[in-house]
Amino acid sequence: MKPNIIYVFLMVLFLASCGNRNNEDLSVAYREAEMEELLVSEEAMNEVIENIASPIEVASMLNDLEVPFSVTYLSNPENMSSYSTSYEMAFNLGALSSDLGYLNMYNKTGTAINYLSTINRLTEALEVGQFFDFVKMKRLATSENNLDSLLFTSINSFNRMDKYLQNTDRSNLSALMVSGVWIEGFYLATQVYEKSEIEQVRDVIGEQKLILNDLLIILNNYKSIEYFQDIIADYEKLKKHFDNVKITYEIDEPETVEIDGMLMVVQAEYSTIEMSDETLDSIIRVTEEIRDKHLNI
Amino acid sequence: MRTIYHIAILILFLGATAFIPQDTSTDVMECAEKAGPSAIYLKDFRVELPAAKSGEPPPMFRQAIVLRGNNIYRFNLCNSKGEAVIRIYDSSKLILSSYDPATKKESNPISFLCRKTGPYNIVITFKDGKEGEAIGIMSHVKINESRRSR
Repeated sequence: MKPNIIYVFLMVLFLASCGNRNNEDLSVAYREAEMEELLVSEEAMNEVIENIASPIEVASMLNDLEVPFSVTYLSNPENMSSYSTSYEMAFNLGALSSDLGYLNMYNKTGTAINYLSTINRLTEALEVGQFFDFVKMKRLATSENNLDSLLFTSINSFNRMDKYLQNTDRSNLSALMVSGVWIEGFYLATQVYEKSEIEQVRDVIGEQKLILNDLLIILNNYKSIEYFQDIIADYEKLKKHFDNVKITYEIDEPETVEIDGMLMVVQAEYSTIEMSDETLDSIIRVTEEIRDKHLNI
Repeated sequence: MRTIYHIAILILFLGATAFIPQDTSTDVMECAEKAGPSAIYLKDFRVELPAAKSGEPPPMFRQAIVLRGNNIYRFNLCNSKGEAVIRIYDSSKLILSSYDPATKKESNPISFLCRKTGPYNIVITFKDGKEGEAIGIMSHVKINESRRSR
């Protein structure tokens, strides 16, 4: 009997510790309207900036523009099996996540399975495998009508891995993963432009000047590490070509429209990108060179 | 002796469970599904804030995020305690809010047609400075599909 009582006592203690904090109502009256004037200090800009590179956004835009799919834009996962340092693996994991986003976006789930296997190996080696459910992803990729779930699961896995690396003092690997996502997504955009010359894709390429600057700020935090020095040198080389890209802004007040009962705020602040064909061409060449070098192509 | 043995087993079990990573993606997925048609999940923000202290501004969750020009983003909130409000700032200028205090109108989800690539600030607070818990979702909306659904 005694052990049972102890069990019950300990279980109650355990469950109580899992519960929410006391619901102390310390709320104070304040005007919600005051939030309209809320000042978000510039120090926020020095904090971790999310979404510098997304494994899906470039692919989603290309799909939206009805750009045909091409497997030639992708890296070869077979080339990524021989990497030995965690830095190389994190960078390649990012690049593969970008490729996976492109494949999923175009519903090329059969090809995606090759990428899933290599991603799985890299996540295990980087000790973030708990966030990548290989069996579930493979099942979603091989069954029909699961595209939404597959997209969600792959992006969510990437986010959770990234967050976990940041929370376990491995922000350097997170930075490399994001750098890998960025270069592969950017390479995809440049290759598509070379074949299609779609004006919107050209603008996307020019706007990367801003993203590259943010990315270099993050990478420079780890410039004492040899592997980062190499990446930084390459990205700085690319940045030099971007110096000739001019971005200007026209400022206006945003508008609010209602579409199908849902509110949409339309930003009226436009950016115009001026980039010569020569500059664009050099950016495309250097991007390909950097991407091929770091992805062993 | 047997009691000590049982307690030891239980402590080991409880200790071990504390280190098993919890699958937190189910509630995020459920919330992402509420973003509506043609929305592709991009990021989630899990927010848990205490009540505001007297005389102080309400606690807030803040995250700097890059948004890209000529893309539609959609933001939606799923509350488990309190009523969350999401706001997007371009530097310190408010450009979007899911709650209009003047009309008391709630817009959840709310979309944003971004025209300028750059860093923005996402701020989440709870109405009346109350304690709250919520998940915020940021999705990417395909422009063509968005047009087709009109």
